Amino acid sequence: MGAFVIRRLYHGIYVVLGVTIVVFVVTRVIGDPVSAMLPMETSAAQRAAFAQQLGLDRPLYIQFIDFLADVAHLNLGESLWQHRPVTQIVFEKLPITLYLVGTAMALAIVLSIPLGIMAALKPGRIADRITVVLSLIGLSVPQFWLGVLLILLFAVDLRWLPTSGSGDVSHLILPALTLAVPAMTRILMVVRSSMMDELNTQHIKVAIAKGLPFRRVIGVHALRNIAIPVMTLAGWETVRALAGYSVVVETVFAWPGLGLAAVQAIERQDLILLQGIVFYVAVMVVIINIGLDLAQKLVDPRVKFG
Amino acid sequence: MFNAPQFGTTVSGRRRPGELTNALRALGRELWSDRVSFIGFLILLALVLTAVFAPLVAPFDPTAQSLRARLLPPFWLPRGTIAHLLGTDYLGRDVLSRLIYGSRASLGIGVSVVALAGSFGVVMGLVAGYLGGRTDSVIMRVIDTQIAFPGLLLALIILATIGPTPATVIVVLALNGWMVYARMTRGIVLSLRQMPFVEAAEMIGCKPRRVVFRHLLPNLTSPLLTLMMLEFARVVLAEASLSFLGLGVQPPASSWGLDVATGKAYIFNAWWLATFPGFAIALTVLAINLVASWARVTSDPQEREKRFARQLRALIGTNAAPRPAASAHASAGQNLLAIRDLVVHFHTRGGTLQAVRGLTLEVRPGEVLGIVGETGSGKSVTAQAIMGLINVPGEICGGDILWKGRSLLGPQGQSYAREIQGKEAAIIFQDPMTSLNPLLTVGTQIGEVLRHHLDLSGAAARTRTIELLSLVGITAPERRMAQYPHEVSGGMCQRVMIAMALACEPELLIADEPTTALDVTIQSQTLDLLASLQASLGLAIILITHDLGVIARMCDRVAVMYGGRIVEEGATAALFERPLHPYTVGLLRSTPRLAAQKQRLESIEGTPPNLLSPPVGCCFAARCAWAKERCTGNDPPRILKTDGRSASCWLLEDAATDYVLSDSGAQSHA
Repeated sequence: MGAFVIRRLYHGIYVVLGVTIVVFVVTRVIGDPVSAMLPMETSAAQRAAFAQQLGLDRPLYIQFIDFLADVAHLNLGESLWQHRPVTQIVFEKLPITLYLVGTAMALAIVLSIPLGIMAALKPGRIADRITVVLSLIGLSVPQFWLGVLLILLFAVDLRWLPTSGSGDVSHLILPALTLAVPAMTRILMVVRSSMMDELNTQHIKVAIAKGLPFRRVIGVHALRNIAIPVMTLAGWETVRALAGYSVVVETVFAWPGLGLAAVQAIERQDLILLQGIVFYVAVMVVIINIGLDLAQKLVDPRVKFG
Repeated sequence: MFNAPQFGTTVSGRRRPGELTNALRALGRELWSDRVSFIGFLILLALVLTAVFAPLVAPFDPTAQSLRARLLPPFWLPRGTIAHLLGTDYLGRDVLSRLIYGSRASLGIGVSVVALAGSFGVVMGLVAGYLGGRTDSVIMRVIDTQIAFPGLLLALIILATIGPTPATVIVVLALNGWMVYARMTRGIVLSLRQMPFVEAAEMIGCKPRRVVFRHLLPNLTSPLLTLMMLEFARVVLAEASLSFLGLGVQPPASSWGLDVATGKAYIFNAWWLATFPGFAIALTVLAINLVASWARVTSDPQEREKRFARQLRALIGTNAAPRPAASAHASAGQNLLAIRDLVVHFHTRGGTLQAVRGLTLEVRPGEVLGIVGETGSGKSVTAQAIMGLINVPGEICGGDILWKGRSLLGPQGQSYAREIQGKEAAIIFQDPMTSLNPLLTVGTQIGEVLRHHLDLSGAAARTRTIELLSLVGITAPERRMAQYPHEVSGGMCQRVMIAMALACEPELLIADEPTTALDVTIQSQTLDLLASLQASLGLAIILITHDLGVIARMCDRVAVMYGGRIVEEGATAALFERPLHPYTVGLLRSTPRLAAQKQRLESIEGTPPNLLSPPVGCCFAARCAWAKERCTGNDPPRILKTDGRSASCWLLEDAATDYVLSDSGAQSHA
């Protein structure tokens, strides 16, 4: 198992390094950090002095090495907008995002698994039809629009829930629901199709032929075999929610997490903060992926750590 | 996300001319048969046409402002006008026109990204697949690394730096999406390289690359198209998200995502501004997804059957309908198992397959009955019917199955059946490796039978499991109990299956081709085991096989199946010595014998009957050397002889006394 973790870490380092290079190239090579940071009226001389002050006039590879060294020390610079260390901002906002994503994923899993199983057990009946329709809709609806519609319905028309911000649970409901729907849809589809395939396997037929009650055949035999693909997908969805969708949803609902901070950093041209957020998210994704792979290997007795 | 498209069976690269028109016609028929997807296709077509002919379709210029007509609601609300069907925005611009022109951005960017990412990805995949070696591992490394990038965030930071224009958006989205195409293409190339015909070509001197190339296109087209459709849907959503966040299409150009963003600010007093553009996105993506799903299902024959089976389930019920009582037979009281006129049908897209067409059989306690027949004769289906495993698309349409005189069909029958299955009657299958649940230990799977049927406690079940494993000749049973199926060899796995079947000391064991999947030496051991268990436990066995040698060795009585029914039945020795049915004669003749000198391998002329539309009259008549006119007109009934033998053949009825079937006809047996 140790070798496996080391190999995954090795791959993870590649990923983080890759992201770092991309971010570096984009911000310092393609983009002009000096113009981004200074107002337009500054003269050329002032810009040159500023660049020298920040060390932006040195050869690129030296800048990169310094950058890497800083990153290794978790010094991602200071936000131009908030004038605080980027690391501090990220660690402050991260739990808020995690709270939202966690709730959303829990909701998605809890709703999709029973529905998917029921749909597979009685194809053509009501649960199956609901599942198919829900899946198609859930896959096609843009998340930000879903959020806007929910706000329109529950906050504007019915006035049951607030439109935005965070605070108590009532603020959590709509954003969590919005974030949950696409993930729930995809998990639902996989649960349903995995269960359908599973019910056609030989070992399930044998379990039925043994006279076991259907409760056990489904609950112990079938469920265990679909757990792995479903778990894998749920993991991927969590990663996608954290790394991507949360940005959109937080913007719609003004949820003060990492995603909203990223968008605000863009609006304020604070490339340093944006850079830091991207880096930390990449690291988080790598860690979560390693954890998921490990969990998968642990649950499946067929796989050896090789 | 949908399951990744499977490239099912590999198709040959060569096509004949008429095939193309036939293929197109078949495509049209398929599209029409799936109405929902057809509607999706129509919607998509309408959207594409709207985007292309936007200047002709849109009532206004999307950038035309009118301060007088600001924030007008849709026409069906007060203050709305027909001129502005869906209302106007905060600058007085017509919403419908902006929607129409917005489709250009979404569809245009979508198509461009798919084309760009697709071409680049496929080329990379081809390079990786063909060249292999270092190139392949470098490309795979790049793909694996890039897939783990936080795509949206990187897109945001890149676009924020270089400035969002349609061109940069397309490039960035393409950069984010080429990996899937590369992976899929590489996978197809690699799987083609492993095909036997490529290896064979290599052996005769052809360069494998040329062979692979010729077969590449037909195998790549279908999954690639499906993937492109799915990606198209994803990119439309991605562009909408980018525009919503302000880093996609920029004002004053119209984009659906952008309009939702600006509309959101007016959500309290002008709800239509944010609603309609989003609806347009949803409709577009829905249409694309419908077409993509249709493409996926039609390109994979397995999926088509699955979908057919699902639709079927909604129509036909379960086997719970009570069956009409079959005629009583005198010996019903003595029999363990009695099957009367069993009829089993399978509903497929090509028609209804009549797998079992009126089967009558009895099994007495303690006897070993062999059922022999070729593939497709209905032997396994019969076994499954007894054990309650016939499910959609299969259906028991007639007849009855009686266990100790009580029916196993119908609603009451089924609950009785659940009681005896696994306890009084058990079954073992051909492939032991797939018959066990790979995620549960051997001990658990045997134990659950004991705990359910015999109500044993955990410890008692454990002890009994160890006993059973020893009974079937497995050494170190305590260790084996804790092992998983994949840790156990094939022969040992079959022993485990036998142990599991015998757990509750059943009175009948059905063995469906138990040794077919095993090596010859293991076959022998397994049969010996079954024989010794039968002798010591006195259980009845139904041994299903196509191997006459196994029958000769193990069985007291034999039933020969052909075309879904039993054509001959009797004691093994008598049947082998003097077969009554022409098919049995053919079977015995075609068995190669070691002792004889060089001989031609005999076979029965002709082919097995098509059970989708079985022939009128005797199903063997077409291949029978002794067939008469009567045989093709009427189905011969089961004719019972006094010595306990029976056959379904008109010859039996005609012959006054016992006869022998030879090349010159049915001759009297002296």
